[in-house]
Amino acid sequence: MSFLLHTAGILAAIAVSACAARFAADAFLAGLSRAERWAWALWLGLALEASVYLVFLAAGRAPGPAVMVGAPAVIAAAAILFLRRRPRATEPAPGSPARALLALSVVAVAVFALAALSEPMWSNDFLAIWGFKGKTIWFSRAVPDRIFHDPAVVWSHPEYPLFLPAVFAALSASIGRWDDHALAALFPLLQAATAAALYGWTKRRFSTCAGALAAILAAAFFPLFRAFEVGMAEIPLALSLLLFSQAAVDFDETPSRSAGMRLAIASLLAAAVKREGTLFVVLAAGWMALRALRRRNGRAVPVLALAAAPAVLHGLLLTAARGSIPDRDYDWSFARPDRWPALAGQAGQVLSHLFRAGDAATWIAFLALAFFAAAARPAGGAPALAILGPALLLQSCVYVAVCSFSTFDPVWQASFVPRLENALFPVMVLAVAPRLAFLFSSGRVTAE
Amino acid sequence: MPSETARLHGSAFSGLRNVAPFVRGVASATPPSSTVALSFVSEKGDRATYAAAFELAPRRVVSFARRREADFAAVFLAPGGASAADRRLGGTRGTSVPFGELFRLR
Repeated sequence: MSFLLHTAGILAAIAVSACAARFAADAFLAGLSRAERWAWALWLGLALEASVYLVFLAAGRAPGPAVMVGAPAVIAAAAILFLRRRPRATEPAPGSPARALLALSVVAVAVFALAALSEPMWSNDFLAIWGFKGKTIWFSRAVPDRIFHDPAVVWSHPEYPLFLPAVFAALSASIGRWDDHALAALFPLLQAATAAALYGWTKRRFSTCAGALAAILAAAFFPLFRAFEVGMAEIPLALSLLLFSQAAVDFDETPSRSAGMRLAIASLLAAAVKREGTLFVVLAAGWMALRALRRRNGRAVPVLALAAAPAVLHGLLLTAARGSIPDRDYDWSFARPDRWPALAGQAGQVLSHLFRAGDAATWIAFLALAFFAAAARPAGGAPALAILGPALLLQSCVYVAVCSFSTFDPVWQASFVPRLENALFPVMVLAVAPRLAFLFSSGRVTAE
Repeated sequence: MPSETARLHGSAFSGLRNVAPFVRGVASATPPSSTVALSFVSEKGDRATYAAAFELAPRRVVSFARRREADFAAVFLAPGGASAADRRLGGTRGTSVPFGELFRLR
């Protein structure tokens, strides 16, 4: 019974903070479809919860449920009363094929919710990293220095960013207790937000049917949305990379103030979730800046300022706040010329493991990337999608390359690559779904 | 019992079913601000270490090699747990916890 009550409390807290974010951020969510706005609202609402919680901790006060629910409620009320709401364009109702695909997406979310909520979170990285830090912060009523510098827990990756542990602790504060079973409710919501963001963006750009296809492709991607991933950072990372990618394409085509705001916030939050988020936004921003330089449209500096700077700034601020932390997993001395033979040996082990006969996972991932690049290039409704192909490909190559610098067994390190690749899948769907939507519609899919 | 099956019955402690009551016993007998040395905790990290550190948070959990930094030492006595040497390292005046003994060091 307490599990149901706690879950209901967490869902209510997320709903209030999402409403607050939705109304307070109306100005820069303007122009998006309804589904996109609510996907953004969920993501920004979680950021709001975490921010309120950390601000109170920094002030030496541990906020209780009244503050954690009251503060977003006040923000929502103030936004409704004082901010002018932008008029919304009417959105076409989905046709029968799209409705069927959307219904299947809802089933996929329900299936994952069942898997996620059937037991307390148990995956290794939840226990060792994200949940461990969240629980320590919650019970300590502070962000203790030992999270970063305790030699007894170097396995907890003290160098990782703290957004997810802060969200766990903030949601616990909103119900006044730590319940790692009820906290799992966050992950099906993130899956639903991922599907909604894909549906809304693709519908706005191409067609309702393409949007619904994008939603089901992502929602039913069970290598990502499975019980093992509950409590880990890949699901939040997938949503953050997707929102960043959508904002990047929007900004590349129309560099409006609202698209720029979305780009900067998505960049910051992607970096706050995981270091892979920083890598992706920096790679994408670099590619966008190169395109801008080649076209001489004067956007290179704004792109770097909005897409890359927030992520880099996050890293600098985190380092300044906690001090420097040695990276235990990687030995960068392999880059020295005298160690190149050893590096080549490690690289050979990694490649032979990833592309070994009888295991198709890596081949499929790279073929999917190639398909993405081919599908994205001539995309009629969003030619700027082409900026994402090189970013995804480079990201995947970096994943493989850094395994060669592993301090430990490089093959063990490489075993994480498929999991990281899964988090890139929703971004790939951006280009693939519009190309496949003809299967469900009579006419050619074009930009609306 | 296979670890996957055991996990379904024993939550986060995977196949280490006896570790769960042991760690919960240690948790109920030690204050949240304390540092606890556990006999099976590894500095490098393994599943039992992660689960114990998570379950005991916000207590600081250290290996027996760091027991001088600890307020308590707990020895896991189930099969595959502590050796006789570990038991001696724990101390002399232990109190019983499920599947083990807990020693106050300070």
